[in-house]
Amino acid sequence: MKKNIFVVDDDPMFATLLSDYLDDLGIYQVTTFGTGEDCLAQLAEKPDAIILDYYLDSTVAGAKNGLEILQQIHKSYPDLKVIMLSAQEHYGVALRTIASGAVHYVIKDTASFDEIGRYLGDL
Amino acid sequence: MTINTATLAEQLRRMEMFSVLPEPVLQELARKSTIVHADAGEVIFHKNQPARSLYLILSGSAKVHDNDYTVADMQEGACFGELALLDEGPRSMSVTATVPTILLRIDRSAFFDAVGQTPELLQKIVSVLTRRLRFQTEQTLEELRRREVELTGLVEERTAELMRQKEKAEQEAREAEFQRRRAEQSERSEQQFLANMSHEIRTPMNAVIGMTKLLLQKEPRENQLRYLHGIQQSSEALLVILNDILDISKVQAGRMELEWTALQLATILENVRATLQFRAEEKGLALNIQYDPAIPPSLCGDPVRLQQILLNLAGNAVKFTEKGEVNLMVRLDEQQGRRCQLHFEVRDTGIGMSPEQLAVVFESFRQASGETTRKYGGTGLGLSISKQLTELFGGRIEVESSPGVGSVFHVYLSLDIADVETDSSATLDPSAAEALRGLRILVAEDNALNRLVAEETLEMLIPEVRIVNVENGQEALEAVQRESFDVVLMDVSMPVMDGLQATRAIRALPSPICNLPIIAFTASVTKNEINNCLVAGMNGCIPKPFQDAELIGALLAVAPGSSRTSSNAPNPAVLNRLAGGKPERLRKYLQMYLDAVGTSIPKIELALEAGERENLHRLVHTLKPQLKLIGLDETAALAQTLETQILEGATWESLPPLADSLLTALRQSITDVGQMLDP
Repeated sequence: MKKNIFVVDDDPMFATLLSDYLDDLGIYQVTTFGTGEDCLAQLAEKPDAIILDYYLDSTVAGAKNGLEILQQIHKSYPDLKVIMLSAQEHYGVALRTIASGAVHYVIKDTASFDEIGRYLGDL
Repeated sequence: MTINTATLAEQLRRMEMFSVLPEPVLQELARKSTIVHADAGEVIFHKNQPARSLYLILSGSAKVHDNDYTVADMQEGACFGELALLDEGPRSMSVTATVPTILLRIDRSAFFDAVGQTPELLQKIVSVLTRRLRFQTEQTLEELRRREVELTGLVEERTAELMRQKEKAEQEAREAEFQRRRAEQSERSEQQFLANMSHEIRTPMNAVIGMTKLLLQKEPRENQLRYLHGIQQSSEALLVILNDILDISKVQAGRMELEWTALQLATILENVRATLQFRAEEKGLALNIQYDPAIPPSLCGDPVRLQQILLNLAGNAVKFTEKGEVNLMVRLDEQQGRRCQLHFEVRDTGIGMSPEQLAVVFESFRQASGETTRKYGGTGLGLSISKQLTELFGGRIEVESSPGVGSVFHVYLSLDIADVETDSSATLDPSAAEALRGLRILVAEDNALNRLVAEETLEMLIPEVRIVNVENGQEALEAVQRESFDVVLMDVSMPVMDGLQATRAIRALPSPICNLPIIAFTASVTKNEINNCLVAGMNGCIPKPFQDAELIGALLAVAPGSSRTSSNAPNPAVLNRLAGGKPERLRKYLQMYLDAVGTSIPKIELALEAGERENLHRLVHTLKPQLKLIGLDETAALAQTLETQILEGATWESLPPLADSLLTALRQSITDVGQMLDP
């Protein structure tokens, strides 16, 4: 059976690219969400992993950022694997997300797709 | 009509509001009232005037009106202005007599003198007035409703009229759109024609020039060397004419762009001399080329186009001069900081031109006379192109001439001193070719002669290069699955399967074959053609006939282990790889890029205008991955710089210049990506 992956990103281009990429690998079933709140509402489906963008309020004003969503996910499902995404090469942000329980921190660029594919394979 | 206190009191009693008054009070009120005469059309009182009196029409008639329409027509026995007795506000309506009219006027003071001492009387009058007012209001409302219905009808009529006009305008717009499409279509076919012509002529020219060059390197005998030089010069001259025609079309279509790189004036002048020396000597002319040694050796500009201007002018001078000399002088008129004002002067002792000829000398397709073409040859486009190019440089061109004495052309240009001393892309660095040692190249090219030129050139330039030749896209597709290569040089137009189809097919193969670098090898070098190549999934494009340095440069850019050159033109290579060679997917990604950047631009502008630092930061931050994905590394770096500046607390004033450069790059990328989607 295909693994169920949630992608949470308010940037439709990146979300679509990532979703297409994972689809192509043939072993993942991908659902994308534009905000963290939408993703939280579907958590009962218990995805195998969540790929979560750090900034999530570019289209929906006041949407919670990835760090808050990550903390809420872990409140209900402490073992859920979350890979954090960010356009920011920022050590502090990376550290905070890892400290909050993310398993990986991936910078959004041209290499991120292969990197995420590798991490998902290892999980 | 008899008017006395008794009749007036009788009139007052008939009024509803006064019917409640006892006889003595009525008598007193009648005594204290005034008789007023109004002519037909006379205004009895104006709107907005303070209201101090009540009027009763004794004979005649009046209309109550706001300035635009009549609310009521009043006859004998009607009264108006009752409220004025109780409240001294301004009146909301005017009253005008419609015929000669007699009225009874009761002032506030008279009314209060007669009634004011008895509050219960006052109370009764107020309650009558209130009822009456309510009734009047209802009447007014009714009137307003009637007007509304009328107006609605009017509006409907106007709307229908507008709809008819709108339909007509839409019809006209459709017509205009149709004409525009047709014009576009014809422009496209013109572009296509240019591309075809470019292809049809350049392909054999490529073979001629390339093979001549190869033969020249094979130690020909002395007499063969002469012939070969002859072929070389003729084919290069032919290329000049072809390029003239392509250039003027480009300029006229507004598609000519200058490249701003470092140029060496000495090199350009030396090229001009080398090209014209032989012709000048043949005619016994002295060709003097001089330049001011104070001119900085390296300037910023388009070397190819500057050389083209000078060659055109000096070439004309040689062509139209039978004896004497041709002088090309370059002076440094002024230098301010890095900016150099240059004055190029080309002076001949040739046939010269009459004032009539001078007037049209820079126009396209005009030579001084029809005779000139037959006698001297050429396209007649050179001066027109030179003028247009000079203007693209931001300079100006002037001419003075007398028939039989000679002509002088002046070109004034302002060029900046270049940062780099040499233009490395124009010269071939031997160590660069060394980096390509042992490269495995698949050459897909249908023309046998061109294949030979490509093969021999590659073998000459790259140590231990390994080349496999195929003749069409189908064979290329088979070859890449059979053996491994480092790079494919792919002709675009080939029989059986063209280069674009072959590229798409290769990109759809399983990894790692789908990642094989493919360089288009094309005779059509229009922007559209280059875009088509990139959209099909190619990594680069080199024009035929190619320069050695161009070929090596393109190979270095994609060869394994070499760092890919970043550029500020969108390069969908990454998106293409993610699209797995599916064109509809690539289109979807490109469209998403356009949507994302298209909505970001106005938001960034707003944030800048409003001084919203945090908002600006967020917007710029979200753009970065998209820029990297579309291959705009420089623009992504610019976004990163701006983001860092914002985060590190740079003053607000320092941000707009950076943001403006970013916006400019974003707008350009929309145009470029848009063209990829809809070339």
